[in-house]
Formats: sequence, C-alpha cells, structure tokens
Amino acid sequence: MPSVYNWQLGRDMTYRFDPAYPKRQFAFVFNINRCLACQTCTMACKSTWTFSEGQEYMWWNNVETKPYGGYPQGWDVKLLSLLEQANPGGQVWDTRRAGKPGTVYGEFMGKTVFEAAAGAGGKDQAIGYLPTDEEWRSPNIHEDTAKGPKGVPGAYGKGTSLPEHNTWFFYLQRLCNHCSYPACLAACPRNAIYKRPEDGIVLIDQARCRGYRKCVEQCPYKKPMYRATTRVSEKCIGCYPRVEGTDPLTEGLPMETRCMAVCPGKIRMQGLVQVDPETGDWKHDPQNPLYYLVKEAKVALPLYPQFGTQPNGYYIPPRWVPREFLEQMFGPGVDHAIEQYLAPPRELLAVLQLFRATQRIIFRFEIEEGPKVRNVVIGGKRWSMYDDTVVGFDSQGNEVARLPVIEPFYVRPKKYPNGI
Amino acid sequence: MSPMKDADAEDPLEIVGVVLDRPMDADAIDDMARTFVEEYVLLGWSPERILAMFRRPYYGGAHDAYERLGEPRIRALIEQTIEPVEG
Repeated sequence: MPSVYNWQLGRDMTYRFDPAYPKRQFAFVFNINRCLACQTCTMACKSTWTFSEGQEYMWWNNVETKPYGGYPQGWDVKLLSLLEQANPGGQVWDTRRAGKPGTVYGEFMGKTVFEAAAGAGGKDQAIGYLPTDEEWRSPNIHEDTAKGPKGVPGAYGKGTSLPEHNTWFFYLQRLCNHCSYPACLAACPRNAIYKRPEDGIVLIDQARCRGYRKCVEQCPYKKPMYRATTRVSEKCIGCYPRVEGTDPLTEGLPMETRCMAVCPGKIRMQGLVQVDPETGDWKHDPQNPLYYLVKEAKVALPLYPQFGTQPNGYYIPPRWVPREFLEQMFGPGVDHAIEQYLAPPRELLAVLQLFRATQRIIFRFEIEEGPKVRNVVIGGKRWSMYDDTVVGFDSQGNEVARLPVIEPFYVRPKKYPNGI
Repeated sequence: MSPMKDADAEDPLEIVGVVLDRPMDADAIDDMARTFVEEYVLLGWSPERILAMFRRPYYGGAHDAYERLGEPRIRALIEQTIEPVEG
C-alpha cells in the first residue's frame, strides 16, 4: 500500500494511490461564529444543481445544527464510533510536535478511515457505512426552527424534545471537502472518481460510474449521493464552471461557487491555494487569504482531520461551545484558533473583512495601515483596533475588493426603508 | 392559490423544529448578548451603533436579550468590551 504525507495529521499514512497532487487546490474557510443557518447557501446549490427528478433528497450543500443535527442523520457520530471500535482509546493526538517542520497541529497517533479499514482486513479502502433512506431524510432535523400552527404566535406544535443539556448549539456548514486524499476516490471499484489536476476539485465521471455506491459508503463526510433515476452517484462539483472562470460575469476570471457567493452572513471565503508538487502541502503564500487564515493565523481548522482524507474545508470554531466537543471535531488547534479570533492580530482582523467582499476569487491581499481607533477587551484580553484597509486582488492582479476594518455605515432614507 | 403548499407532517423533507424542554437561563442569555456585542465589535461597529441594534425589534435575537436583560446591562456589556482611545 503506498504511503502519502498528510500535513494535517503531521505524519505519513497509507492510501490506495501514490502521491499525485494538483497544481492548485480548491479550499474554503467558514466562520461558524457568524452563521445564522438561513440556508441561503443550501438553496442556491439546490436550485443550481439538484432540482431534478431523483435528486429530491440531495443537498450537496447543507447546514446542520450541532450537536444533534446531521445530514445524513448521525453521520459523524457513526464514523467516530466505527473508528473507536477499530482502535479503542487510541484516537489521540500528540501535540508536542505541533508547529515543528511538516506539522501544524501535532501528530495524530490514531487510525484514519484508511488505516482502520486495512486493520479490519476487508476489501474496503476506508471504514464506513451506507446511510439508510430514513437517515437521508429531514436534512435540517433538530434545527432550532420553531414549528407551530399557522398564524398563532408563540404556539409551538409538535417539535422534537432534546435530552436536557446546557443550552448551546451551533450551525455546521457542509459540502464536499474536495479532499487531498479522497476516500470516495479510493473506494471506487470502477476508478470513476478523479481529482482535477488544475484545481483539485473531485468529480464523479457519470459515464464510468455504475452506481455501486462504494463512494457513498466510504466517504466519511457522506457527501457522494446515489441517484436512483440515473443509477449513478453524484456529488458536489465545486461549481467548476465558475471556478474555471467560464461565467461571463467575471470575464474569464475565477469566481466563487454558488453557495459561497450568496452568503448573507458573510461567513464564507473560497479560493484556490498553490500546492507543492512534491509534498502535497500548501506552497508558502502568506498573502493568499486562505493560506493566511489556515497556515499563518491558524484561526481556521479542518473538519474531523483524524478521518485522514486531508479535507480542504476549514472552520473558525464557535467560541461558546465546550472545548472537548470542538477538539473532537476540529483537532487540537481549537484553543489557539479561538484565542486568535477573540484577540486578532491586526492583519487577521483586516483579512476577516474580505469574506464575501466579491464574487471573484481573491488570490492575494494587501493591507494599508490606518489609525488606532479603540481598545477592545474580549475574554479578559485587551487589544487595540486599527482602522486598516484590506485590499483584495484577483488572479490577474486586478483590485477587486477594498474594505476598511471600521465598516462604512449608510442610513436609508425614511421614505424608502427597504430601498437600495 | 398560493405557490406554497401547506406543511405535511408525513413529508420526509418537512422542516423538523426543536423545542427546548426548559427555559433558557439568565446566564445563557447574558453570554449570548456578550457574544453579539463581541462579534459586532470585531466587525468594527461603534458602541452607539451596537446599542441601536439591540434596541431595534427587527434584530430578533439581540432585541430579545435587550428586553430580558434591560438596557443598563447591554450598555455595561458594550462598555466592558470597548474602551475609548485616550488623547
């Protein structure tokens, strides 16, 4: 079995194929702290890609309410249980090497989905399961959306009662992570799944696929889905025509996906990062906003890195959630990420303003320094806020975004309160 | 006829809401209000603008906290988070 380097785990791991890396990698950062679960992303994706017969249950992008929600229901709890069964008590991190060359969060000492499958001695490439039809239903189950009789304020009908717990929850935004070591790709007996060399987007060849559903079974994030009307599987395509720049709106330049571009809460940023052809790690590029957030500020963390697929979706964790829960979900970088977010370095505060500033993919940013405007105290830490201006540039070096830290404030005239 | 159909409990894709089976405690509301304040501070909002947001009923979550905790508490949370620059 070939060995590949997984920088999120800080070590080599086994994978079905020899190392082969794209020139650039599709990646994204979500700020969980600011998501309100409006599901605009979900609907933008649905109305673009999965509105046809046989796709009714498919939500390539979904937002689920943690800790109880999930689409498919219980997907992550089931995966964590399978891994725990395969390696009881061994799914732990050694954080002593965190930050040393080749590592970011330390070294994962447990088993990935690939290693757990190899240990089980079966034919599968990754440990997994096939969700039932029932589990694919109710995609926003346990969302805090009150359900009651029409026109009767405050009268909530039959909802779902949760076990008693401290009142915390958060929204988890999910789509295909276009992993560097996709389990779906490794699982396919037809080699119908491939990773594009130009942008790392993972696609299912609809002509080669015969609907064996091995990808559905072995993707730990449960993002490939089977379509009964065509008898093949489908998944998020990373809106590749937009990423390629074939949409006329951007005149041939790379553009963010539908789910990213519609976010009213400005919690999403998506782009392309450069990949080292030798190691598969991201090339040093600190002026790329995604590189800066993930590798420099380390404020954004991968989702369940211990699965071992090296996912390319990153999350700024919610600061109000118990840390043990977050560490299981995002790895050992949680404390540092939240610390950074609540007392952000000057550069980070400015880069956070770039989220949803433009539909064009931002490849580089610069910061123009401004005056000190106030002192801020969050979580007992005092820091100074500067009204710096962040400038974003597209793939051609054209300026496409310019925003100050102190947001401009416009008051609509009373005559037109909802006017633009 | 409305383009939207009435909710059907038998529809597997129907929204399933959650009713918390106990009232939210005051500490949780205070934590929530503090989080609102901190997030808007990070966005560069001024103290006046943040207070105005809490006062407006259009901002459901923030205004609910405002009504439960009272304006003095919201003001205190803002003052604890933002300090003016001297000089």
